Amino acid sequence: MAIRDQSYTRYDGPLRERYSWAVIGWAGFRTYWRFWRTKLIFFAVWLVPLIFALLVIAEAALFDEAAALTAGEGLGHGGIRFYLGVQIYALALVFIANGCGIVSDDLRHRTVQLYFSKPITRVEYAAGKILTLFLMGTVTVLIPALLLVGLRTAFFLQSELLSEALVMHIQALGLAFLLVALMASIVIGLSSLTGRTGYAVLALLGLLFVPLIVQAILAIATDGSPWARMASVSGLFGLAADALLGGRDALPDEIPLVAPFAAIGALIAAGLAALRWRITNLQGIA
Amino acid sequence: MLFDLDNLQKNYGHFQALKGITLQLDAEAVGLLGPNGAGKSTLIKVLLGLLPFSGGRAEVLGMKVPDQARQIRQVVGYMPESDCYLPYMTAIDYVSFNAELCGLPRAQAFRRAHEVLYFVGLEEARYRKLGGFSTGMKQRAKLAQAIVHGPKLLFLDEPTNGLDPQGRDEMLELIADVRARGVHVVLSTHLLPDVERICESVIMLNQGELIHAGTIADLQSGKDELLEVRTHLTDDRFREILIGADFEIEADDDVLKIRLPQGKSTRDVLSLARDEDIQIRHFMPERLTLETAFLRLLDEAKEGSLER
Repeated sequence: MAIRDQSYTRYDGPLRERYSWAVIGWAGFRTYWRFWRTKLIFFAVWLVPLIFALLVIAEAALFDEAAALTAGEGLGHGGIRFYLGVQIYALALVFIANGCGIVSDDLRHRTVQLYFSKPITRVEYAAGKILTLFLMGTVTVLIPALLLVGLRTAFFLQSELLSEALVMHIQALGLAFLLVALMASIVIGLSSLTGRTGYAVLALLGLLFVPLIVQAILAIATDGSPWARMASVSGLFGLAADALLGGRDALPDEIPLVAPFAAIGALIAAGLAALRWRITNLQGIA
Repeated sequence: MLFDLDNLQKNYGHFQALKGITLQLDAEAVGLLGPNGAGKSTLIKVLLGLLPFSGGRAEVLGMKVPDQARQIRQVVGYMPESDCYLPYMTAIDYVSFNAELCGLPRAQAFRRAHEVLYFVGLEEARYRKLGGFSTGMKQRAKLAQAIVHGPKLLFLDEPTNGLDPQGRDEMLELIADVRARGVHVVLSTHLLPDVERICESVIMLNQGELIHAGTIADLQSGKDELLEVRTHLTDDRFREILIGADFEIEADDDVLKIRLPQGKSTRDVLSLARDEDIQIRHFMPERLTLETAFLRLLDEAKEGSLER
């Protein structure tokens, strides 16, 4: 029985041989974007930058009074540090809703075998998946950070603190980039280790919140040693923000300047190593 | 040349999944047959370059595996046996995404996805999520992603799995249509009538070994003819008479399955019955189907392995 009135026609147009990673990355982002929950969560996490934008406007309005109160002290970086600290949890929320299944969904639904039956390499697949998470992180953290930096820099245009503010804001953008890279690597690493998205979500929650408890216990046990902050992702990132924005003076003496960056680098490397392990061990799956 | 394999081997640890397959085959449509665990899916994955092989040499459409695996995958479509889609993707997204992965520019991929979804009969459902599809619709969506980029060769792994008779018939019709447009088809299935309908050649595997590669006609020709005979006798008298006259007999309850060796004909059986005054109540030449040929080859392979 015929189910169609059209015969098969072959495609004989052009075929591209590059940029499969971009196709995978963009398709992943587009798929997640279509969910209502994604749009709602993006709306929720954008409330934070919105509040900070109001604070920046208030800061500009009260600039002269604030300058008189803090004369000679220069610009503080507490606001930026706090903002990025909050963004860790905003990113976590976004990745819990969409992102923890970035690889595990492919394993569970066996789409990896379909990917690799196409003319793409495993490296391109990995790059595409990282790109999807990076695009999610860009919408959550980088774009708002860029807008806030632009707004704040604009207010400093007529000020003698312009160059100092510019340097600090570029560093803040660098930190925002580092934050996205860190969270994307953690999420893709956890997602690579399981075929169950729920487990990846639980692991991410555990990785963010259990070390906070450990950090508190260590801080109590060691009479508030600053090393305790190295135990959690947020503490670690806070140290990195202090080191980059405030320099050596902003870090406790006991902690070497490179320590938080080395630990963040190790976390990123661990996440990417888990992804590499997964895509090179697909026998029986693809 | 569709396939040129020379001593192709694949091991999983100490387990030999493919034990040195050597064949040269040039055909439009090939059935890949074998019992469970024969190595059919492994062979497909090795030929696609998805799995590295342990030894030997393989060429697909004149391209070497694994050196030219990327080029091979660009001209090959693969429809896996298992469901392999994200249930929250729509059919149009799924097919156009797969087209883009094969290298089609985005606009072309989208247009082409519409075309093939129309071809497989999913035009009404193309904006629905795959998770809500029936088995037949999922199979058609999988076929659509496999043909969207205009492959020269199509690997179909159990394409009629789980389909009702009408769905199976429609799927085979689609495959036949694709084949008629000059696309080579490799059909891996347990359903031998599907192979007989679509393919003119077969590759038969058993426990990782090749037991036959060639046309179905070759497989069916040159074999001894079979007869099914039942008589009015309740004892083995006619069986003994036939064995005495150099016929090979398999007894199946009261039915005698008689294999006619070269130089003997059905008339000789009838003459023997007439001479011995035996009344024949059932007399039917058995057609050598792909199924009987396949089972016979499997038996021979089993006997061969027992002798070894």
